[in-house]
Amino acid sequence: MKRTIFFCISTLLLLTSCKVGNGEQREPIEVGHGIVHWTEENLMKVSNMLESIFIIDLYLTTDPALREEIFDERLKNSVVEYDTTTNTIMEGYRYVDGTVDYYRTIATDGLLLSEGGTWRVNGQGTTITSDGGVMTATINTRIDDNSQVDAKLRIEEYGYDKEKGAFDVKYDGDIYIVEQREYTYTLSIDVVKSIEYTEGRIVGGELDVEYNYSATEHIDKVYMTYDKDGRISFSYRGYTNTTQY
Amino acid sequence: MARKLRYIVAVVAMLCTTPLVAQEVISDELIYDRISGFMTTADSYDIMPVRKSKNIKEIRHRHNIRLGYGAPGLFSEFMLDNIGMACDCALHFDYPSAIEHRRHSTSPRRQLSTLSLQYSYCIKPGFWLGAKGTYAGVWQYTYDTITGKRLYDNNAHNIALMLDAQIAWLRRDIVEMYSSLSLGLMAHIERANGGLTPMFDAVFVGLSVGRKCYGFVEVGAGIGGSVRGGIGIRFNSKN
Repeated sequence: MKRTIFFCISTLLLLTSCKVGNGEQREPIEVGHGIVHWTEENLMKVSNMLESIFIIDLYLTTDPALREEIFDERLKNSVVEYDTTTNTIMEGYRYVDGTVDYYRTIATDGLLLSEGGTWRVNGQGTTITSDGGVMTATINTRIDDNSQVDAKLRIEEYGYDKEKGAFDVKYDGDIYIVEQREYTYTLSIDVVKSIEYTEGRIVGGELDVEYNYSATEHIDKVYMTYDKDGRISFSYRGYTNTTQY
Repeated sequence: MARKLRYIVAVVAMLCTTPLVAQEVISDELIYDRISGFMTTADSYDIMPVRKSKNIKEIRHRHNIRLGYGAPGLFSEFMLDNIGMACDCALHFDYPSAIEHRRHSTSPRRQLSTLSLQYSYCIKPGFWLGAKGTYAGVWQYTYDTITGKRLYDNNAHNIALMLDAQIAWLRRDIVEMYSSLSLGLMAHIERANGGLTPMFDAVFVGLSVGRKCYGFVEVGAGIGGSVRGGIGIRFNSKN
């Protein structure tokens, strides 16, 4: 009898030991988090892309004192050479031994951006034009082997903040991201209120984001707002949350 | 941690059964005499009359059936689950694939580690040949995070059938220590994968306590798991 009882108890213990994982129970808002995070990643790429171009214009046009500061803060290991005979700006990396590896050229129409010029960044599919005082950046660039960013942005203002030692840019427009893997992921970002970018982060703006995954044809819509501290408040399928990256 | 604790408790519970079995068997007078050395000399043989006991027959059992359960081992876990899924690890978390990953939730994962049923035939004292069947399964389902709708099951089942050879390298009346090797085939069944594969199981050290009914614990590797325990019965087909 005792044996039987012990056998039954040990069998029950064995059965209770069967749970080996809690699984991954998620809330719908976590999907929204994912979309927000991916949007943030791509907005930063676009903003950094703009920064890298505008900083050259600022470097070439500003007064010598500020020019030195910009160089020290942002272009320390770089070489920026403007060849006015060919209207070409060459950007390169300067090694410790003094040798330079040029990695980017910008074709200008003879004018700097601040003078209303048109710049075409070779190999990057980025063009910046001015028309009637409205500066427009058109981006058709491959970010990596799988993804492409297409954007048409209206640049409202840009500059270098001496006090913060930081580059600022404010822009609005539409950004379209395509990531091609086994299936296609797309992200359409419609800027409702201008994006403000400073000190390497976004500190303002409102966005309507639409995410689509071709395999399941899911369409998810997220509304995002940035506050001045870089926090993102977003709503997704009736859920709201705040996050910061 | 909780998972490990449960396995330890389970193995201890298995061990608890074996002393009870042993206690009952050792109460048999003849066996007690043997263990205590009463019948080891010619003198004592003369003094003590030989008493017949059914245990004399029982220690020459030909058939052996055992039922066991094995705690997961590295190999058995890999064969069942490829390890990664059991720990709920998210293996890819780059965006945007992470968005799709989050769109799916999974239920708690339940696993029955290796259950085994074995039959052996005694070829000669201490050497058994037979067959061993094992089963292990894991159950979990995936559902849509947003709608809560059940999408598909992630269940997997391993069913193995192997030939088994066992050698007892220490034999006492009620205690036996042994090693064994099993070779055969295993069927792996799951939603998106499956197949038939050669399989093995090895018991490095096994300890059984009892005569007709006995409990056993083993340490081994292979599809049977790492530490195993269970109960068995030895018998003859006719008296």
